[in-house]
Amino acid sequence: MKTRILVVEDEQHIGQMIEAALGLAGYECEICRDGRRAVAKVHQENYDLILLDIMLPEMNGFEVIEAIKSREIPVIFLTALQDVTDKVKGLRLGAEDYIVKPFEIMELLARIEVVLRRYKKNLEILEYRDIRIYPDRHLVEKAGRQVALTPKEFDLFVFFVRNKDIAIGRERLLSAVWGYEFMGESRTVDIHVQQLRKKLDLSKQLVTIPKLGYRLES
Amino acid sequence: MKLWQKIFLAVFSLTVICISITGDITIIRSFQMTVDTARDRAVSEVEYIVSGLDSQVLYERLLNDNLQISEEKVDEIIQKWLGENGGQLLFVFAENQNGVTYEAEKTAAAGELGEATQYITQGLVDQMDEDERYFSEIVSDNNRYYILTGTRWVPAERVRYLITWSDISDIYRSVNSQLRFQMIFSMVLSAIAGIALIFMVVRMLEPLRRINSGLRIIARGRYQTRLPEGKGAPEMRELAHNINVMAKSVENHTEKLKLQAENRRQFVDSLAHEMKTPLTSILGFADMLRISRKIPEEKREEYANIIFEEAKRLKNLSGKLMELSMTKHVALDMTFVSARELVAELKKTLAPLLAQKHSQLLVYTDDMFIPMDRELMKSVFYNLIENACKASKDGQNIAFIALRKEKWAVFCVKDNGIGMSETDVKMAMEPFFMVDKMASRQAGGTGLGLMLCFEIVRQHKGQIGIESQLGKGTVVTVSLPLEQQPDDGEDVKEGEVG
Repeated sequence: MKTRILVVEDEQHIGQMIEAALGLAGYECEICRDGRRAVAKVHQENYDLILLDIMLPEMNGFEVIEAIKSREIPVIFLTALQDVTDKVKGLRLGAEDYIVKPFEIMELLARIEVVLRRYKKNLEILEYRDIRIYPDRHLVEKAGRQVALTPKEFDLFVFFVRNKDIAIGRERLLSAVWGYEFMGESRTVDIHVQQLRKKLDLSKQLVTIPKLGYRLES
Repeated sequence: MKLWQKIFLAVFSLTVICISITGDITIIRSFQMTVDTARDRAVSEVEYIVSGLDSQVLYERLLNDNLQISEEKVDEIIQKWLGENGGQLLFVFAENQNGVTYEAEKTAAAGELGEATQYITQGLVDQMDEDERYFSEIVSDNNRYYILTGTRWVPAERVRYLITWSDISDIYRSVNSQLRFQMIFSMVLSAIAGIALIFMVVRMLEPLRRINSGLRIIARGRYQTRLPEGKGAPEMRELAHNINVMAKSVENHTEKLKLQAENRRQFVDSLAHEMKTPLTSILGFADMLRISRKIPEEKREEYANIIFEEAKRLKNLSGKLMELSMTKHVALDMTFVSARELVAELKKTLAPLLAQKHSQLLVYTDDMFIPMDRELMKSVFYNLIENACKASKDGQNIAFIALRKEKWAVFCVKDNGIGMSETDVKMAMEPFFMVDKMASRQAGGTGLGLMLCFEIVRQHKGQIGIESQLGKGTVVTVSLPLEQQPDDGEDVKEGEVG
């Protein structure tokens, strides 16, 4: 069952862009252009995550968050303003995180990933070729046989599988898997990638893209 | 030293000094007068004695039927007198043949006087000359004061001097006690007056203190504070009033500055938003093209198109911003422009746009020459007519009218298009405002067009106004002064945003 994300954004192009980006990461996505209709949808259907723009016509983002609180669905809001007060207000109202426009695709996907993980919405079994991943048990099987991976190797592999066919830079991997506070070198990433290639026999699939980073190809 | 202390000290010292001086002078004058009275009395006494003695001498002469009297007889008479009356008569000095005076008689009372007095008396006698009838001198002896009065008496041949004395110590005692009393009394009175004076001075300067504390509050930033104007001396009231006037002016000024700063902030916020929106699309789609492994051809085309469109939008925006900046900082190039010529040029420039909409531009112009910056005003009218076009349906016409009304040239752009609601009309000239964001952006709009028009017209010292009815149409009126306004030296850079 794919993760369903509702995107509430009134600018057409930005909506299209987010839709394409989410599609890349394998999420199912729906776009809504105004706040009122978004609230109605949230109450009628099930979503795993909501991407909410603050600057909406008529009903603004903050009002929408208030209206859908009862559904307890995680919300990440999008804002063009650097204003700290707006960010604080949004977080206080119950949003999980925020992204400031303009943003890079990877940043968006990384944050979505973090929030979904927090909400344990991503517990379905992942499959990549002959490898199966059980996220809740931290277990990896290749062709039926268990493969021993360290915790970070596991997280890294899950991240690659969830972001197939997307070139990801070292910094993104570092912050997504090791967290923002990690002060180590980016060699860490390289070493872990090497291990994955070795342990899971993915030398041909987990490729290095010059200047961009690594990509797990399907 | 504080003002009230200075005032108090000055008034107090002056008053005390004046009063003391007056008191002293009065007392001393009175004393003088008393002394003079005593002196006069002494003189009368001497006269009485002389006349008494004279009558005795006359009696003796008559008795002896003699015109002359002997010296011995005179002495006898004196002796008799002294024996009978004594009293005031102190000394009798006589002059011998050589002209030297000596003491002839001395009463018992004289013996009471000290040596010094007697010595002085001798001196007085010597000093007295022939012209003087009486002499009088005040001597002090042992803290007692006496007035000695004398006269020359020549009953026979020898010169005699009669000297009386009077004790006037009382007078002196009285003066001293008066002076003492005056000193004590004036000190007490001064002390009381001093206290009263302090109260009065402090009270009268009280308003100053109030004004000071009021000013301190105002200076700290509460510019709406006002001082009470009802109490205190006229000068204080006037001061308070003037301070209030000044505070009001400061308050107005700070309000204006706050408003200006707020407007500026809002403008910058809106600008940032307007720029970030296209950037988000550009960044996002470019990123997509970059990191995705394979992208279907039609998606690639779609993304590239969007990137292109949004980049153009940014270009329009930056272009309009440049225009805005220029109108604020570049002086107007004023020439007299013929209304008819202007309209002709507009028609030509707008031809393609009008043709597209199958619309006509209906014009009426008075024959007049208006001082204006030709290019800027052309762009204003172009913008307005373009807006009118966008708001109208295909085939609908647009009217452009230029009339002279007294000292103004009035231009109207009228359309029968979609119109605007009242609230939209109010917001129309705000930066970045667009009634229909979606449609405007599609057509390359930035939301800055009307704001620019407003700025340009304002620089011309003209007015711009919008009237509209939803569904019926819109009229935009621009008025420009017909006389070239003198440059009032206003710094263009300080123009408010919006």
